[in-house]
Amino acid sequence: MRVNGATPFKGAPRWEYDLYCRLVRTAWKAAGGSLHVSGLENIPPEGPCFLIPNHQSYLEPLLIASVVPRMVHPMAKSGQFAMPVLGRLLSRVYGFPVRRHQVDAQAARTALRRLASDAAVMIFPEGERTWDGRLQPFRIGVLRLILKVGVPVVPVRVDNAYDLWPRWERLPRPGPLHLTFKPPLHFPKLERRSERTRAAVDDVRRQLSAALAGPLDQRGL
Amino acid sequence: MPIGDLLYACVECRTEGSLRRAKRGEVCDRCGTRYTRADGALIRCERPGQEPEVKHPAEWLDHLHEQPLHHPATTAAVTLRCASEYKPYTHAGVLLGFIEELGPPEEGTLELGPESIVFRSATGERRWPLDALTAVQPTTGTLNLKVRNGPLIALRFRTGSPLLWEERVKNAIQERFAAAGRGDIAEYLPRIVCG
Repeated sequence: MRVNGATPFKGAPRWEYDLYCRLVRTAWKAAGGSLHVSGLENIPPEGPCFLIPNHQSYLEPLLIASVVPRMVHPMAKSGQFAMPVLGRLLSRVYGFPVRRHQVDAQAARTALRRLASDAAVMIFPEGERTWDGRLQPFRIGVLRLILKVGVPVVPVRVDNAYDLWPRWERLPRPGPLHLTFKPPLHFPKLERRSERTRAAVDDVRRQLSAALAGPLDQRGL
Repeated sequence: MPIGDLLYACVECRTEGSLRRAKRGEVCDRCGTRYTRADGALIRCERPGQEPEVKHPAEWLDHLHEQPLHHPATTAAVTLRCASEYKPYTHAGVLLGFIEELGPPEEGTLELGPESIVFRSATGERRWPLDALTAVQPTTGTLNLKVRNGPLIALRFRTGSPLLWEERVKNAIQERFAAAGRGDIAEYLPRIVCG
């Protein structure tokens, strides 16, 4: 399936992608970290879907991609693509940039094209790492994008990553990191902008917040 | 200063930007309170002559928000970079998106006024009205501001905390919106939107 006659994207072949994943997991273990993953069966084995994790540190984008049994297409901040080696590597493993300081129609288009080619697109709806460990407000644009396509949304709850590498710390302290892939949420496909009302957006926000809230948020801190 | 990036003031004496790196952790150079990282992301605070207190960063931040700071700074030393152009980013012949190209760095001071943000350097003064800002985007070390029909402004703080200045800029914009009867701002990224 193609969108607007877009050229299909060519990234790393499967064997190379798997090699990067194995390298990430091995490096994490070698550094003294461990991974506790549950709910992988909740990820649709094929077809388009969103992976929507909470964002606690730089660790989880890599580690989530390394354990998911299918290729993950992460949306990442544009600044990372400005770095020559990292940018090339990111795009090779199916990452694509988003400018966070303005509405980025091209990033949305790229996400739609990837979904149209049956990809699993990973977006961090908070838009940045948390400063204090609490779940942050979700970006309205991400919630609208979810409604626009109506594909399954798998919330990914990340726990303990903030304790290992809080945003204000220079380097991580490897330790146990927990990833929980929750059962997919299904939202209606609302292609017309006028259909994506505030009530519809609030419903996505409410369901995602419930799925991604952690102990700190539940304590009301 | 890792902890000083989060705790923009000492929780004991409430002095802004007073945490300095020490042999062990960071120390407030006004009252001597020492901050170290405890288990996980917990922060241990040792006030001189008192028992240490360990709390989660969220609790320390809430504690800082409870009362105003003593003698809050009105200016900060920053390094400014502007991005007026965006470069198409392609891979294997496919357009993936656009990335900003930041210009050369320029050192100066930043001041937040009731109507505008002012940057002063050896080459002169630049002023951006608060009403012209369309986004406020913090990163760990910088505060990025987008000006309507203008450049992306990246401010790297040499003194002061980007987290605190982000709050200040957001509060100042919110006050302008409230004064103009435009209501509460729902989000500041990717553009300022009222709820």
